[in-house]
Amino acid sequence: MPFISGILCFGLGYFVAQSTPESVLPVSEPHQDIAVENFIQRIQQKAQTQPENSLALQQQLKNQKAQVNSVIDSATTEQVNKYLEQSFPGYDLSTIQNKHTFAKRLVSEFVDAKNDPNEVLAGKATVTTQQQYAANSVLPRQIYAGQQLFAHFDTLGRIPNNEQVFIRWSNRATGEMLFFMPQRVSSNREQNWVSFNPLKGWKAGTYDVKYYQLNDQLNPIAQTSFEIEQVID
Amino acid sequence: MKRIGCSILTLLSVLLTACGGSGSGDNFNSSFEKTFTFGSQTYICRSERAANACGGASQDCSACDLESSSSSSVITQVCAQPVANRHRVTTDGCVLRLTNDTQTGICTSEGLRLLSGTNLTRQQVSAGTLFSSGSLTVNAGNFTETISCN
Repeated sequence: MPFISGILCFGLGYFVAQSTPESVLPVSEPHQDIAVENFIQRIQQKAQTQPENSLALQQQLKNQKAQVNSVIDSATTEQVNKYLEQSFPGYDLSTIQNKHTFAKRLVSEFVDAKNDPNEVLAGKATVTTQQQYAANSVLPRQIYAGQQLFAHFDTLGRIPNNEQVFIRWSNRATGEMLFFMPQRVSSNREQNWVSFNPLKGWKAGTYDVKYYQLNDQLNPIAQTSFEIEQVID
Repeated sequence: MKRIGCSILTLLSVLLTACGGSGSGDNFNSSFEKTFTFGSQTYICRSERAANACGGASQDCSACDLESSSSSSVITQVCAQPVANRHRVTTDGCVLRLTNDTQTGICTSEGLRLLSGTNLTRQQVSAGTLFSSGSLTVNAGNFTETISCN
């Protein structure tokens, strides 16, 4: 289930914790562990059989964003570090100075997974069917359900070219997060790409893509929206 | 609040496993570029998946360009059809004579690549439309044709 990102896990942790209200009679730790495991199993089963559950969880986290941020604040730096390293293995997170700030930015972007068309960004992004970047490339009206689409971005020399970026692919109409991960790109050029296709295939609709720098504030680089008019199954 | 923080810590390992960690699926890729040299051969891998496959235990560099290689040679071999309407694409690349269309395909560690037309080089087809699942089913009127990697 690659589209469910690490931050969802963090959210689940919070959700599970919150699902044991303070007013409930204290239970012994083994019992609490069993209850937690049962809960996770139910979430897993639902996520596998009803993919819309990830959207429901996104909405729930959105409603409880302030509490989630409090949870992050209450965690030690070591805890947040450990979580991030486990969530994003193989990525160099040393460029992130304040992991708490970064985690909160992740939550914020995760729950509000839509581009703001009025936000002016320094870089440029475009989505095409081809790996090779062409300035005037237009996405075809018809896309195969299992076809990879390429989100190209250009820093235009206005943003440092780093070897890692963060990217979000989301459904504009529903706000559903499809992909939310760091990615490795080439730091020796201004134009790079990240390709993606949902495991369950594309559906007709409008989608948002946004690139961020992998730093404390998750500073945006570029964003774009694209429309799939028809899907060929 | 402390209780909640502790709960999160306790749950981390379970939750990360439950959620698939960093996203271990095979439906994404990026323009990370890396060069590998094995003996006298140098491969330029122009995507992260290609680089991971080439640098991995299997040393599958099929999605990478071999310096001064056959990547400029034109693909002329026609794809085999072991079963009617089922076309098998190879790692060397081959031409797909479909009912309504002619495509050229190649299979690499990234998946199936297709480019419309013939008389195309490996290099050209390697930049074609990518199907990371390694297969594609095409409607041809009242029947379907399947294109897939071995």
